[in-house]
Amino acid sequence: MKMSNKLIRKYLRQVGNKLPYSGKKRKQMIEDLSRNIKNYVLTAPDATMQDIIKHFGSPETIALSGFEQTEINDLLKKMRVRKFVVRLVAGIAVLGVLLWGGVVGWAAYKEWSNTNGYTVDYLDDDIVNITYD
Amino acid sequence: MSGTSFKSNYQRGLAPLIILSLLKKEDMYGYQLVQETARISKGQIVTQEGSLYPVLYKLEEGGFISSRKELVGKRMTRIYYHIEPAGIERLKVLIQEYNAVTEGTFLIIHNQEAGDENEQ
Repeated sequence: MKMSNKLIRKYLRQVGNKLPYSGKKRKQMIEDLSRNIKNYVLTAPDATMQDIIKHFGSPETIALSGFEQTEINDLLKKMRVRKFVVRLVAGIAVLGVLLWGGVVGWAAYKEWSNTNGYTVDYLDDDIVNITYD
Repeated sequence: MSGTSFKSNYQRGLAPLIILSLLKKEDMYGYQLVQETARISKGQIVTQEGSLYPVLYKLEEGGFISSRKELVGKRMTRIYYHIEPAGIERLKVLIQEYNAVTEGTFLIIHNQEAGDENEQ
């Protein structure tokens, strides 16, 4: 498997996604890794993707090292933040559904109350049927 | 230092001690740290460059090492790592802790072996 920039970008993306870092630290790590891969390729132009993984480590191995070097309190904080975001999104979704249900229900009630319980079916402005609920 | 085997886990745990020990001798860049680790340990300890960065960042955050960029040739940039006085002190502590744990483990293993022999 001959190496291409696309494969390197994919590898860097995988590493970035698995790392327990965010923001500036993640950016620095990816920049350092990217620069050193370029240096490596300059010294070994025939290197394959397998060679890169063998030399720099698989995304999982790099992430494992990242986790080990992260304080447990920072990891717990990140997990709490993630849990909070998931709950917030779920809460907003539930609220949205309830709101939509409420609006539809209110519109139906208004229509029912405006016709005093009668349901009027129209066809081209002509009344075709009247039923009482 | 790949995988999750006992040897890999053990080596990853030793990474700060190994890096500080190497940097005490001279300033080095990432790949040089990998090469020197393999050379001095006679291939017993093999590290992967990507796994070193988190350890280097943590050591730098703690003020134990510092880094500087150097242009090598026309296109290559290397980051050299340098041990700080706090790093030398940290290394002493790590060596003490390593010796204590190794000695304790050695005693446990040999005590177990003595027990096994007595049973036979």
